Amino acid sequence: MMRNITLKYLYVTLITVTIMFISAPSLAQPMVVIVNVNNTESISSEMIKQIYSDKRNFWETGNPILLFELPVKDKGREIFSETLLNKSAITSQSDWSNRYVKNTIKNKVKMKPQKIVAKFVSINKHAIGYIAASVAEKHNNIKIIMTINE
Amino acid sequence: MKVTRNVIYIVLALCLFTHLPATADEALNIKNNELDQRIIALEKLVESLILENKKPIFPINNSTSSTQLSNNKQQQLNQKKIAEHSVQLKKVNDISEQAEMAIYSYEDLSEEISNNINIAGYADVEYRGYNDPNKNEEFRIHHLSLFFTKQFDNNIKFFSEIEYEDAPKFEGASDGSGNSKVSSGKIFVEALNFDWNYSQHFNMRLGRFFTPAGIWSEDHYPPFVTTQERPLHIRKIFPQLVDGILVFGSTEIVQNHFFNYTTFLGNGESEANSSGKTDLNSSKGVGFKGDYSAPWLDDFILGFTLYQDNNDSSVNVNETINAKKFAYGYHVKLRQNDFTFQGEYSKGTLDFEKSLENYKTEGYYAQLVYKLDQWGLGYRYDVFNEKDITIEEITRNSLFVNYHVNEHFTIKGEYHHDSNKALLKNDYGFYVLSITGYLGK
Repeated sequence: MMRNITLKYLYVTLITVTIMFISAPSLAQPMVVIVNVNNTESISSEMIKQIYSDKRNFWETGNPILLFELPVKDKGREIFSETLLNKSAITSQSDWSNRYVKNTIKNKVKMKPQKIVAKFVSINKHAIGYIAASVAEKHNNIKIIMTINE
Repeated sequence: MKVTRNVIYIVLALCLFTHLPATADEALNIKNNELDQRIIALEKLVESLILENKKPIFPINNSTSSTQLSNNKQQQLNQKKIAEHSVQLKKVNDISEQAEMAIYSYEDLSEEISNNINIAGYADVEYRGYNDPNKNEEFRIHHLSLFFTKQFDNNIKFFSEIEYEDAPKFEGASDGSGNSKVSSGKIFVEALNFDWNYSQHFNMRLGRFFTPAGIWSEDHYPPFVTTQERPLHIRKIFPQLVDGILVFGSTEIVQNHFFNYTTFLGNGESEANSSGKTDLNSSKGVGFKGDYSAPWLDDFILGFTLYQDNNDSSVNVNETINAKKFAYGYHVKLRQNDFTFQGEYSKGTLDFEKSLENYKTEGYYAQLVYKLDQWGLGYRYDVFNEKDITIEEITRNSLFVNYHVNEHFTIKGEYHHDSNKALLKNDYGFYVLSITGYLGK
């Protein structure tokens, strides 16, 4: 009798937990890749991937790219890295560090929080960064070139 | 039995380590959070002031009380409100200017900091064990490397790496003789160079640098590679370092397909024990490395390396037995999802004055790594034949596991098993447990 009741509770708990996991809404909001409003380049997702993999460090106009990354602990960094680069934020940051110590790093990468990224991109014509869509809405002089959904 | 017990202790210690919280970026995060808070406060203040100023200066009042006020009184009230409104507008302007100044100051400060000399580094500590009863298990304080870099302006950069290997100790005798009492370990300037970065297509480097040959020659730093032990042929066919000049760049041959080139001219291996000063002969080593990178898979790199030194003394730097050395190699690196494959093949030909002494040297490896979250699990098959004689051939099978605690800190375990073709040489196995830390940002 006791065994049956215990099993019943176990089933109910398992079903409840499963439903919670399945129906839990995603709290992550879309990320957007941004450039300055005066940037006239035609930028594809492959180009963004190359920029963030340190394969491309100049714009078509010949100007050096000023690149912004988010801190590794920012959820947005994980979404961006996993979706666009197909690697974790930790691996992506390790790759930058590895390029730095190998002395093969090409891009001038800066790691800043989202609001600072938005401000810098809004005042620097050659900058590129990614931030949450809700942060981008609050800033002028920036142009969204790609939206990334988790 | 002793080995098993020690392995259990080490594994338990590693398990404990994996639960340590990552704290390396805390200071930076606090600083960033403070700045965020300040920006949020400023934004709130600006928003509230803007809202305040959106309110009508002269509130609409339908009552007849306004008609009861004298014209003078109404005028005074209006003037007062206009004055208040002007003060508030000035406040908004001031705060906007301050916010803008704060952003620019922050940018200036960032620029100033990045223009100062930057210090980074890495360190690793190992525990090694062997299946040879005559060899003791040991802790090894393997590396402490410090990197000093300075960006002089947009185009000129200085880079250096000073390595302290095996916790070096140098101590003079206290009898005033100037003799050395203790000398152990190694202090070595592994890199020291100046870069002139002109464009994506053309850049120059002058000084000491790792030989751009294949993958592992440059990509060898313990926090970022899978094993503490490098593949057998690395540094034995192409030289470890070059003192000289390097020209490098990258070009997009067709859209999204890149060709990266690196070509160099240096003292070659005839430099006296990497002294950084004396080239033992007038001949220079010359090399070229090309990489083709395509937008296939998550990463796709194919490449080759060529190296020639007409008066190579690496075979014996203390004697004048020089050889004409020519070496070439291929390399490949592919990544798709959680799998990364990497392989290199190299072959060197050494021609001496007496052709009977000529020999070839050959090595290759293939490595597959599977990444699961912060874990990396892999296998490497590795072969090296130093003098093109079957009995000299060594085959190494390596199994390894990595745990990346965070972007700076990795715990590694690896087991290597060497098989010799020579009948008199026994097969040999050893393991390495290590922790490696990157000390930069």
